Amino acid sequence: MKPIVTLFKKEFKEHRLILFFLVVATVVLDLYLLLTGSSDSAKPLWVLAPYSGTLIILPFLLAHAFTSEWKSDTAYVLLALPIRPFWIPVLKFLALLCYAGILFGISTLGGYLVYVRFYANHVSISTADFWLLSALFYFSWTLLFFSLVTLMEAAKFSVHRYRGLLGTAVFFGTLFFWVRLSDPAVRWLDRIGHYTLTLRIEGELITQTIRFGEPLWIAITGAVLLGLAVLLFETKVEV
Amino acid sequence: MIIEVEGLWKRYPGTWALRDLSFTAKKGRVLGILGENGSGKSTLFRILAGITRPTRGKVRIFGTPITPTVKARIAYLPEVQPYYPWMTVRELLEFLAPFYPGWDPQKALNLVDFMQLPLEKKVGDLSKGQKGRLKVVVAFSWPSEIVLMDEPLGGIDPPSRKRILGALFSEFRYGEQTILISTHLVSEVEEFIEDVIYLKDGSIVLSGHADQLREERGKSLSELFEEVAT
Repeated sequence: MKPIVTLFKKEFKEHRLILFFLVVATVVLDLYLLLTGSSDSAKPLWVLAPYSGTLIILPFLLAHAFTSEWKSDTAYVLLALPIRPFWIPVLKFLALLCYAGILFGISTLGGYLVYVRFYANHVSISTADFWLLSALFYFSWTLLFFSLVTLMEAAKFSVHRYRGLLGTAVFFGTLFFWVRLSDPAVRWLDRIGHYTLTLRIEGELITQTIRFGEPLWIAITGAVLLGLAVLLFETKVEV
Repeated sequence: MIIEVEGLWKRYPGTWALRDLSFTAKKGRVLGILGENGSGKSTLFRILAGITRPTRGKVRIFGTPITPTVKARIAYLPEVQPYYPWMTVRELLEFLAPFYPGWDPQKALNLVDFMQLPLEKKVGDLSKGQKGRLKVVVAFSWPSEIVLMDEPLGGIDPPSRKRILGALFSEFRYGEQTILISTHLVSEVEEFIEDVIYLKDGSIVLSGHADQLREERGKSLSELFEEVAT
């Protein structure tokens, strides 16, 4: 197990400067909003920016983590390591998922503090519901984006020509099937269960039902895409 | 036989890099793989290291296909500089150590010292000669059974070449370790090569025991290299 832990640490350390920058930027933005915002303006809603920001930046960072191995020839040492090839995408995925976890924790804490300071008088939601809903949204999409990127990179490095074209084809192909299958899949998965959420908006109690279909569908698609990427690393990817 | 290659073909877009290659390598011997640029040497080394997949044919090392267990017994020094530029020399050695059974940290430090490498310098900041020497440190810091050296002297200045060759053949465990070496600088390694394979356009054009070939043809290995190339 030690080699796997060592490789995970390497993956985690490789982009630590970018992680540091993202953490600092999120904390600075949250502090700025807490200190200068007001409940009458929409300015504090900028607290959502780090969420969407990291949802976009981290998949690019994951793609870069793969591409840089081939560009800088370090794929030679990586693929020659005496471990099963599937560990390579899995550990890169997990390292970036840890980045996402850290950034999620900081962003959500910032968001919660902004909510308590500026909006708690108008809208009331329990702390547990706040974190649960945030995590459900953030991690389901993160898993899907990361898995799609991992599959695109695995496809690219399974061939020696037209890599960019193949990566793009995988992206649009996945998107096409995902959109086409979404409706029936979500409807079917909605049967599995739901979560009832009680909100108080301007003194009035409102009950919301959060169905599990959509996050489950996103997570299942992510797992399938990651499975395909792992398969490509085991059977096709090469230097 | 420690390495068995049978009917090996490798196709890249628009070209065959290897065509029907078959050979064996015996344990404890130094096998020179010689050929011009584009003859298929590096592709062959990559396939033996398990980082490139054959299009057709069989490769068996220690009697089995290349698995992680087999890779743990092979030291591979590619033609390129494959180490992470953001790591220091010390970090790189610490990173690689857990992967290779029997890695000897003290031996690694001794080799770093012998090779006059700065432990705390980033790999990306090393000179080409230093990077070449670092590959040798990595290869001989653990008791690998096969060493695959693809152009270990390519583009390296003469003093570094001398130091690399000195370390290579003082650390080499005769009779136990098998070395496969490819190089353009045949004359510099000629005295060490015991068996030789000449490649041209992905095919074997000449092979045999080095002494026997010299005797039969009345030429040195480097003269034969030039003859085969033309």
